[in-house]
Amino acid sequence: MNEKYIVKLLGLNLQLGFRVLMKEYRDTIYWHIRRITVNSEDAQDATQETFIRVYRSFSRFDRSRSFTAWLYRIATNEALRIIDKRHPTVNVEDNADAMSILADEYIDLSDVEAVNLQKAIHSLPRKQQLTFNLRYYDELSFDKIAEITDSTPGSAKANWHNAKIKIYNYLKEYYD
Amino acid sequence: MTKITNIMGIGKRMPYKVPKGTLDEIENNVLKATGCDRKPSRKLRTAGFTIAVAASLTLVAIFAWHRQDVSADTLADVQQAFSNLDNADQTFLSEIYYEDTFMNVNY
Repeated sequence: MNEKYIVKLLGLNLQLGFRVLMKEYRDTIYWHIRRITVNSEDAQDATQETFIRVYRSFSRFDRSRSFTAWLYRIATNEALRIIDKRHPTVNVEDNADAMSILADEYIDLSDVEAVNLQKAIHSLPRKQQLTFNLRYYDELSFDKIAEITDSTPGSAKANWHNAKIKIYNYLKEYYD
Repeated sequence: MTKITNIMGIGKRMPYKVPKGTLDEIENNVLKATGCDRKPSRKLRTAGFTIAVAASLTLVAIFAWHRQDVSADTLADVQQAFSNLDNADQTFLSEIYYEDTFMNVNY
């Protein structure tokens, strides 16, 4: 559903609008967070906290901005906050091993190709990770990605380009 | 990007699995924590196919009012989103529309 309609509905009736919001964005936000946290329990907690924060702070949402970007930004911050709090010794950027360290039993390690792609993503600097995920999985525009990652559309494009090259090289090296 | 995905045919596939019931649990916990699990007190009990269809058309009308050039795809999205709501919310939306003079005047 178009984000403008969601915002309109939230303005008309916050509780009803929020129920619609949950149904529309629940899975998308969960998966965005899960790609960051890896761990399923962390993803669940971060997703819950994200939506609660969205509900409580909707009155402060600047309607001239993108609602989707605002939502993703809160989700991203919450995911990173939980990782920093629960796994303070794990560096989640430039670290292909981060995925293995954060993994729980809810990962299909037998799917080697998919695991390696996630490792390749975690080997990137944080902004490139986020940019890659938001573009590749969520298919967001560079304008929205820039809002979420606190950069410019030009930087987002550059991060996307660099991320693709690094991932390609990581996978190529693995399979060569 | 094509090169990357074609090498291994991964596409958007991920190795992550979701524990059974997690997504519903998330939704229920959030709705409970925010108090949004409570339905509107004015909800009508006249739920059913007729109401659902009428209310669905109402929601589409609301959004068409909001944006006259709304596309067929968008309307389909709205209808799909609407159909995901339960009867109480569908009825509530219907009430909002019919009781809101401002919205009716502008449509």
